[in-house]
Amino acid sequence: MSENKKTLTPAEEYYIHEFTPAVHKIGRFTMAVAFVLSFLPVIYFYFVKGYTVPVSTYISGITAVSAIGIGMWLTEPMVYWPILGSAGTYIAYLSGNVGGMRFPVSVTVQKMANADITTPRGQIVTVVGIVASVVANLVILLCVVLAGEWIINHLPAAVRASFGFVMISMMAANMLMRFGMNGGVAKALPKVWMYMVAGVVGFFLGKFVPALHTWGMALAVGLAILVAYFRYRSDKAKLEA
Amino acid sequence: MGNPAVQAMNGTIWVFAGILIVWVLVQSFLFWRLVMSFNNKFNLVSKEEISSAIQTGATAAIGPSLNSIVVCLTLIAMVGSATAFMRCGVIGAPGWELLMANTAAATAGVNFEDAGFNEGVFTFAIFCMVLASAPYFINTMITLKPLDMAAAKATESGAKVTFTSYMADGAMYGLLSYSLLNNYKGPASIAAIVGAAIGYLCWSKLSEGKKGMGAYSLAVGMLCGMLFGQVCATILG
Repeated sequence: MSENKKTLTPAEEYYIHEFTPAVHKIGRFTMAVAFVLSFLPVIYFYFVKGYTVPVSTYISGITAVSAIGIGMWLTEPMVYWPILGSAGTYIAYLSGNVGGMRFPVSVTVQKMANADITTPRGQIVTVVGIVASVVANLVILLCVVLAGEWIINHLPAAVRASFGFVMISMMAANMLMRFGMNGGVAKALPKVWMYMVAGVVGFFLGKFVPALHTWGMALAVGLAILVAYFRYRSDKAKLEA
Repeated sequence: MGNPAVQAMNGTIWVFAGILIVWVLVQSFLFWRLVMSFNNKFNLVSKEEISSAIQTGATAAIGPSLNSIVVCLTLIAMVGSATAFMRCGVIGAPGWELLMANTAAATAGVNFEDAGFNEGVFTFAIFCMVLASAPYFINTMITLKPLDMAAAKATESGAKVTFTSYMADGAMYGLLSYSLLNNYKGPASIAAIVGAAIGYLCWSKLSEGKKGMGAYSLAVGMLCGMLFGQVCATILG
């Protein structure tokens, strides 16, 4: 079936042909430099200062770390890309705290601007929100590191314990926000419950099948995207009928 | 920070941490400048929306930053303030770094308090922490451009519906469902979810038509969730 080329707005044209290539130019360059910079302390201490341990220890370390990380290294950035966009993913993987901070920030700013990441507007607000979170996080962390244990010792025990509920509270609020973007809970649920079920299935597969232990998140998102693909095919067929 | 090796190397590591932090800020600045020049050309997002996004980004970062303090302090005790800052503030996440530091010590056959935890082992521990995150950099350099090219192709086609919007929805709900379950720690978590929902919905209702207030809905939801969760945990003992 042939499809006619869509007439793009000037902003969409610019977004595809100018903005996106520039994102990858900046992203690839900064990540390549960061890769080298992150190994600098090790290179300095090992080769300049001579702080060594047997090479076999390094080989064991590489094996152990790779065994833990390989599943996430291969899948995680692609899992977050549909929500953070490319610029957001580059920033998030250099600044860290992707799942716990950059992801909820993206959901929140996209809801606030009522713009999906697939649109130029969504890309702009997402990058702005993530950059603000990077600066805020660095300032807070610097204060914490400098003030050290003093802060934690002066917080009441109940307040410290309540931090254990930060993540689940944030995810719950994010879920409601996303429902809001899809027209509210009543309108959104009939359309999206299948994605949620796919996420739940992925979680339990990762939790209870030992071989899939590190693949849980990738499975959750992968299955949800697979369901999305079938829905897309079905909706497309209905529209073209 | 009791270990003599950690103490001796801490000052030097601050220099490397400083370089990395500057690089993170440089990257953020470059992307910021790019989106701002794009926005100035086409006026896609208003100034109010930009300042709302800044407020939202900054306030939404507070909760998770505080949440990671406890893990970060544990990391400071093990590997010193400079390494903890370098790994938690740039590149890594506290829980992941703590796991990697422990893996490194276990591989070297020492504990952080042991005399055997010398400069060589500490260098090895830093190596393991760096190694745990560095492959993500390579992944992003390889995979993101082809993904964008596929998305652009879909946008340029004349299709009435495009897969990218379905994919964004699917990924979002799949990931949120997974994250909710992954952070579930018993009945008090349900109270936290209910509290977050009530807080978020009430604040959203209150902030309707009021400029700037909406930026705090996530923070309010989070605080209510923490309150409900902790009260429930205390009652349940």
